[in-house]
Amino acid sequence: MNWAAKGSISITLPVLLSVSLAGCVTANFTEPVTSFRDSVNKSGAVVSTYYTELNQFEREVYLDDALYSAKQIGTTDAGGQPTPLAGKALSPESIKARTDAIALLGAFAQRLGELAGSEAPKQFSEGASALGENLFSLNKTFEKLGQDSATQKAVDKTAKDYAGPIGAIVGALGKMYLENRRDAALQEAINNGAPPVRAVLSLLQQDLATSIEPLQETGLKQELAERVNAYNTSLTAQPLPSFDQRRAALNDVGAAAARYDAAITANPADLIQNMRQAFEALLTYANSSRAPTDLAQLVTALQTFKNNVDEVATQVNRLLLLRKGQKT
Amino acid sequence: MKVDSATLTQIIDKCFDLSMNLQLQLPDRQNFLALGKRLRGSLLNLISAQFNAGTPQVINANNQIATVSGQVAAVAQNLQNIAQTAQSLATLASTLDGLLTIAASFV
Repeated sequence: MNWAAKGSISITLPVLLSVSLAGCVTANFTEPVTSFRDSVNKSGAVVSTYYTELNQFEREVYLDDALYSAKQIGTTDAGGQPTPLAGKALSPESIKARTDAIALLGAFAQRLGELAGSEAPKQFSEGASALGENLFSLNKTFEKLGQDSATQKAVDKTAKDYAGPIGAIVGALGKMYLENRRDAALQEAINNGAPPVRAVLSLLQQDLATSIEPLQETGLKQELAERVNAYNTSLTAQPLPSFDQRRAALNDVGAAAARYDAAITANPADLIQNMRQAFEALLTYANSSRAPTDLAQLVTALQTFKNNVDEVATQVNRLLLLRKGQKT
Repeated sequence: MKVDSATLTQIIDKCFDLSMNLQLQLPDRQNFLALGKRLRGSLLNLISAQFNAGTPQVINANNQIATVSGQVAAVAQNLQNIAQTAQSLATLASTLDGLLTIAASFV
């Protein structure tokens, strides 16, 4: 081994170390962005359900009231206003505006995911390995010029040993350069997206908290109260309802109570709040020094978001099944 | 400006709770159920209604909502003034019905 080669080893080791560390941090940024994207997409599907199901839900509450109160029904009430039977509690344009806003959040998260998962650095690394092989061939060519056979043999041996590492270093440096560019692009995308994302999240959260949730909770409580009152009123009748009739009525009360409980548990406004917190954590991390503690905080926020999405999605599905009269 | 749907929701919720409260006589419970349903109908109609800023009828309605909210909470607390509170709830429902015709837009 010649001294020039030894010198090369001492220089490349720190470079390799810093390259590998930079690679680890950037790779860790990819996973959180992907997790955020997946949770946003799942949230979007859950929240959209509330809007698209609203008119049908109000129709059900209206007909339920007619059943228990023995009322006439119509698409226009006595005051000239459309009833929920007409299915216009929320206009199609209003529903579309809200589902479009949700889709916009999903598109933003999707783009972040695509940027974070870009294959360009990997392709560069593979190309750089081929470059390493070419360097070895070039080195061998040089060795044929004016060297005695003994020296030539020694140089040939060491040159072969270095072709692989040379290629790896070139590849790693190139990968680090491209990943840093990708990292910078991600940071820019997240920062630029922050104002509109925050605006959309605020609007959705307020809308869900002031419109959707109140209607759902009061509607399901009304159905419960109807059934409770109907049962209690029936106990004043002569003759008393039969044992089977009372059991059927009480089963109905129990089912209505379960639907109400499911609605209380599934809180879509809180889901948007979790999405907001996860996005702010992503924003904080993007602008941080990317220390392990920064990453740990981000991972915690994203896990909380994911857990909440999974829980709300389960409750929403359960509520939909209960409304159809199916057991869960 | 908008109607105070958050407080109105709380009133409706308490009406339904009172309708299932066995400390009240059955006729009172049935009355609170009917009033809760009527107010919920108003909530459904008004929840997306937008009114011009400073509309006096909306200001008056929101003041009424705040007053009635206190009354209903008191009934839930000590089961007194039931008839008077029921009358206030009926008056509120009429007030809210009158707002639909002056809404500037529905979003």
